[in-house]
Amino acid sequence: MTLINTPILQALSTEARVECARNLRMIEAVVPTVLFPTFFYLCFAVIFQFGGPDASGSGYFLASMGSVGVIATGLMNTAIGTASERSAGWLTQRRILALPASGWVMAKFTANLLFGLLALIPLFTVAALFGDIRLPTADWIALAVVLLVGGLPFCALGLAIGSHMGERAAIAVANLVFLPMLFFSGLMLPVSLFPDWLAPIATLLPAHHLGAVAWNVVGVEEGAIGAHWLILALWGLFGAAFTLLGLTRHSRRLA
Amino acid sequence: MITTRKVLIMMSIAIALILFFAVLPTPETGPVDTTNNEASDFVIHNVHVFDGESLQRDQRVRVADGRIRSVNPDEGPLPDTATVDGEGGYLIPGLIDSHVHIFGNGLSDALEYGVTSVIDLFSHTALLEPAEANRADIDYAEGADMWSAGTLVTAPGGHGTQFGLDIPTLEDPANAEAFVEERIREGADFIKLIVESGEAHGMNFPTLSPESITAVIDAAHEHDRLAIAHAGSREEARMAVNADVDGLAHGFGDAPLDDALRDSLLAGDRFVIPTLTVIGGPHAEANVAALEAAGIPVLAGSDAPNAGLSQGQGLHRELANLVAAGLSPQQALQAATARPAEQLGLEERGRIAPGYRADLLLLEANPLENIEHTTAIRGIWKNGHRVEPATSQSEQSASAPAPEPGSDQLVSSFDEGLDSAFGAGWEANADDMMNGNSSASLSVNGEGQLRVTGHIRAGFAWRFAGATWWPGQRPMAPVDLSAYDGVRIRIRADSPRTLRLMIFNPASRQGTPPQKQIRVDTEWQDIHLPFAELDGVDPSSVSGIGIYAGPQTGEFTVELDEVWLTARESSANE
Repeated sequence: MTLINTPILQALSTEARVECARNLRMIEAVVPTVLFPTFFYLCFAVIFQFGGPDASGSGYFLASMGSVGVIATGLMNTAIGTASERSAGWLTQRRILALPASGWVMAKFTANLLFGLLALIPLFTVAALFGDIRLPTADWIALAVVLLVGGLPFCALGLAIGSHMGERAAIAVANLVFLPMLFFSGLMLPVSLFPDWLAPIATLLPAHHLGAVAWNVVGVEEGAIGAHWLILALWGLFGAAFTLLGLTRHSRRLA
Repeated sequence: MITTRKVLIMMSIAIALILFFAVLPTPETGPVDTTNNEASDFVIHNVHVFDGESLQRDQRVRVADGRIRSVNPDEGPLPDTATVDGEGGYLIPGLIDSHVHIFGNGLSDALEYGVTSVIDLFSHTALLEPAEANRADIDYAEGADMWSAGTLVTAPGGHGTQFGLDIPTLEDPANAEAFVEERIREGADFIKLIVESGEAHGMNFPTLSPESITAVIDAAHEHDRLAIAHAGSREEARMAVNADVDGLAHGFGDAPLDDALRDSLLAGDRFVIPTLTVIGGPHAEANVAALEAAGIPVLAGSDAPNAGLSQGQGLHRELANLVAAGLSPQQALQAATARPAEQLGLEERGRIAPGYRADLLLLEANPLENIEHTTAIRGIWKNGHRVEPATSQSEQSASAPAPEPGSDQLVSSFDEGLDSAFGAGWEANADDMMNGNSSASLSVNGEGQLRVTGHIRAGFAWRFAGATWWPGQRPMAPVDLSAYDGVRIRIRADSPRTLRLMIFNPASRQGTPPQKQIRVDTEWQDIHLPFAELDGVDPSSVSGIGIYAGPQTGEFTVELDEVWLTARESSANE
């Protein structure tokens, strides 16, 4: 308990807790984001059975929609949330408090992990009940962990968008990035079905690499995943750098 | 502050999460089929048992922990354990195919046809280590057990070097021992050597010198390995036998078995795997009957996937061939169960007896009356785990849809992808699946045309790349197309080129699938190819039709607009 009770950690955990609570109170925003991948899964894999019963039972859609879930919370929620915080002046206000800057990022990451998990629970439930997905318990857990950790770079990208533009612009830009990325990364439709010229595009998109590590867990894809993680990490760093740039620009303007 | 209440809430959430992941469904352990998974301890009753040697009527077989525990007359009350009612069927040991070449899904394909053990006589050495682990695993039920010769021993440029695998070769007999040791280090269970100059087929290629043959066989024996020779003719078989080879991987069809060779085969307790699937003809068949009559162990081997045979189906075909050559169904069954297990040293395989692996086949009818009953499979067990038999279990070809009298059957117009009117659709194939370097890919463009692009590269003797249509429910499953007399394709290419149309024909006794060259232009043209123009095609059993580029190297693009099966003239006239 002594470690947890150190002031700095207390500050971090309080901020994370407040961030989560704040998000949870926006129930009308949370519910759709959290349920949307489950809804997609139901449509694609259970009702319409894209790719035939074999494909829907294979875990491809489970891993894909899990990715969609953490990208939605990571990219969309974070981008919009950050933009609105900034517009409301909270970030400026925060700078005069004796709070470490890392606390703000940690809070975002924590909230993101929580909402990612909230999105995965109904998805996994539906996949187990209606999608006939059977995985060893270790793989279920691995899938959740891979998706949640792999979702963090998208959180960083969301921060980058949110730290550069106002709330309305952030919504538009996040959508503009989000929706096409889902299709072109192979999360909605396997890359193997892409026309030849389009297939290389997928590997340019971070969502494809998150999908790849998740497909690997469920056994849809095989092979080394180190490169995918590396690319995800680079996208995360890219997001972090742009966030930093956005925030310094923001503070310079204030100065 | 961290209060007790908070700790409790956190713990409850953690426990709820753990519970959530704990109740998420997991795969049933064991075999492919999850619904009728047998208990590990069960009794099959009300069956007649062919134990590897002979038939015992009305038996009860108890299986526990992957092995056969007891075989007793079927009387008295059934035990408390799970039971399987054999319904008067025939229980035989899992079959052993003594000559195959495994790649891809070969082992699981074999198992679905009741072949629970295979002898691989040359494949990629990467398969050897997992094979050894799997056959030691008493719970393994994903495929057949495999023993392998790994890399064969041949001369530079000799038979075996043409398949695209980059294999070492042996030139100097002084290196034979080191060469054999290297094979054993790779995990080879047998040493397979090539004794074939091609003479019997009017060809001429390098082969091992007599000194090398002797040195290789001696080295194999020194390391307690059986030496199995691929001999191309009677004289080459004699050469191998005189060098004390333990068995022949093929029969020979160029000459009849003579007394001298018969006696030396017999004296050395040597076995022969005739592989009538690939080496047929009157001499070959008569030799099989003579070997069996002399008491020389004949072993059933299919040489699948050669001659267009799929793993598993190939052995059933060879069993029928052996019976056609003069073996009794009982002898043929022995040749695929107890005999190979004994000759090749496959422990715990090939018999239904206490202590043996519970590798079992339950047949609907008596295979000793008609050998084709081995294909009427009601149940397969591997190490006591139930395995779902292949869907098109009977070797009888499924029938293609009957054509309207006088009308052709559209196979594919490619308006909606790679599907076909029936069958498993189109697939890209190239020699890269046999470790060659060519590649192919298929796509369907917006105008409803199949675009086949590929690159023929050196690295494989029979370079090819292109598209294959599988008329059966799954690749390589044969279908009866005898209602049709040929294929018609609408085709063009990026430049005028010669392609090959190939028909995969498991019934064919030829070594390579029947094929015909077609000349394709840059303009669309309809090419009609009657089956009659392809040498040796049996339309009643077609497992695939393919269009391939090669052997000229380079990139190519071919487009197909429509593919039809053309109706027989006779029905057109009706």
